[in-house]
Amino acid sequence: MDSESGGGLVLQGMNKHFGRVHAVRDVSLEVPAGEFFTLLGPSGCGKTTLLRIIAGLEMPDEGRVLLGGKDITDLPATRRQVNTVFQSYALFPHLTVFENVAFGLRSRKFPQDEINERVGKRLEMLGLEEMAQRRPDQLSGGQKQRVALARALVNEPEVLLLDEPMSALDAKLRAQVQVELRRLQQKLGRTFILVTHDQDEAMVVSDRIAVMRDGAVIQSGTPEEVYDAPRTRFVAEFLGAANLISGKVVDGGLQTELGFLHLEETPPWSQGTVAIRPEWIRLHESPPAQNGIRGRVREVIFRGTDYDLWMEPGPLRVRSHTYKHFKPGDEIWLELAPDELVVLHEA
Amino acid sequence: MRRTHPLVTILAMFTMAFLYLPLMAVAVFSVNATKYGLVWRGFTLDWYLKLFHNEVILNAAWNTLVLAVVSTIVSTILGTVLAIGMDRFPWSKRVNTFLDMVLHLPVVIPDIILAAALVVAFGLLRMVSSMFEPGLLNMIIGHITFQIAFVALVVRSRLVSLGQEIEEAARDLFASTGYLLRRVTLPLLLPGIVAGGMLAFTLSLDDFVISFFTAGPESVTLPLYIFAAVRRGVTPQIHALSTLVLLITVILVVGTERFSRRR
Repeated sequence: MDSESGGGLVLQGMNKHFGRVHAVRDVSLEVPAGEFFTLLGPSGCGKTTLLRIIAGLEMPDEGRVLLGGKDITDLPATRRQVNTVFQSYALFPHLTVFENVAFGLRSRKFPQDEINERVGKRLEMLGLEEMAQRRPDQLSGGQKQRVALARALVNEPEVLLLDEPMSALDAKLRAQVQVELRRLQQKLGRTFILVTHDQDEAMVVSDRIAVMRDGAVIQSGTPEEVYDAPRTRFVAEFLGAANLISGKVVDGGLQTELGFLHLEETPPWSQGTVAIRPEWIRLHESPPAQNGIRGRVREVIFRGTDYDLWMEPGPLRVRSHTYKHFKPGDEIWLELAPDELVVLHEA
Repeated sequence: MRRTHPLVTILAMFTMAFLYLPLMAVAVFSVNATKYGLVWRGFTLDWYLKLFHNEVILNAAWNTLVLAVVSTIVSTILGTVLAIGMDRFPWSKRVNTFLDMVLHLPVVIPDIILAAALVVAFGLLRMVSSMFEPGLLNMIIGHITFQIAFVALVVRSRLVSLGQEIEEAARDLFASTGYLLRRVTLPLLLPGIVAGGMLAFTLSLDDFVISFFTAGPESVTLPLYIFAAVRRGVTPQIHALSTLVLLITVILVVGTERFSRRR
């Protein structure tokens, strides 16, 4: 499926200002039908504004929104086949769970039979049948979230928008809900667009991620692409941990304060930064053939399956499995292999 | 636990006494079986019974009720519409500040100033139509002018606490403006609207100044009657009447509190 068919979404040249704040800058995106797409970025990066533009709750200053090949930029929210799960869920406090879920069908005057059937089906799918007659204030956070999800999905939207839907849940429940959400999306085969500032969440659920900063999309791709080959310092640091090493290009490599490092590709700059993730650094008893650095353990942090080692020189951060024991003061060889060093595309 | 200083307790008691003793005295004298003086001569409900046979008082009570009910209905509707319009329309910041000031002005402005302004305004309107001779219509309009601000303030605070997200959710779920108002906004605003209306009703019931400046000979209300009667001398009947008005006010205030605290 592609972005022309039902549920495929295209954003072209989006721009939005709030007073003097440039909230969305020249954003163009294509989301094929059936994809789980995530807008990832720190708060205030414009991701929620972009979501609200897709929902029709905000008008862009410039740019078009195309849904299934049709231009819906000028359609109000009430006439878009797009539904939203709001950050605070925005459940109707005066209505029962059943009536909350039925709201979108009632407002379009569906017959009662069909309302009963469709609402019943969604409540069952999300395990909410018992809650049907309760009011939102009698529900737990996780239940509220599922009601919000059912209320949006009952309308069978071409695109489901999720605005930080898990920020109100505790860490354990969040991890569980992320997996459930991913399964649900795959079962329904619908386009989901999620907004989050949580990089773990983005990687767990998404087919593709767009990393946003200051209103612009900096990099997009599959979670592996974005994690393995971050293009900028910001992306490298925002998604997981990264060691950033600066240096000057000399013949066949990079001269850094840690010493000479061989690189696989020639950087597009003469002076700049390369990144390496803590778990990509290999540890050796004896010097490796290439890119070896003699390091001393300064601090050891136990993380269950791993140790985080803060090394000198550096501060270099290394992640090591627990079956190797280290204590502060130990000396060890670090291998920053050329194929693990990512050249960042910004000087 | 920290114990309060006895002086604090004494001061609090004194304040309560200061506030409520005069009211209690009125209530006590309304059931005192003497016509003059401050001596207790035994319990009686005669004064209350006589109230209900006094044509003038019954007429004043009726006027008061009509004035309060009509002005409250009109001001509650207008105040609610005003609050929704102020809060939900995307006014610019400057306009918003201006509207805010305009809304608060009738609340803080002394009644007497508003009353004098109304006298002038109705004087001008009388040149257009004789409808605006002093009387019940003028009083209703006068009451509405100050009630609207109170209703709008109460309803708006409810709107602010509701936030916009719920209405956005309704629009996202295909609700037309009419459906949104009927199914979401108004039901959720109801406690605010009722509280605002009850406040407006109480204010109208107790109002003397605005009524005094806008009333005609046929439209005497209870506060106006009591004022006139007191100048001829305080009678136990007045005590009884005052006690009744006080009682109704207390019931309304308690009711408003109860209602606005729901949800």
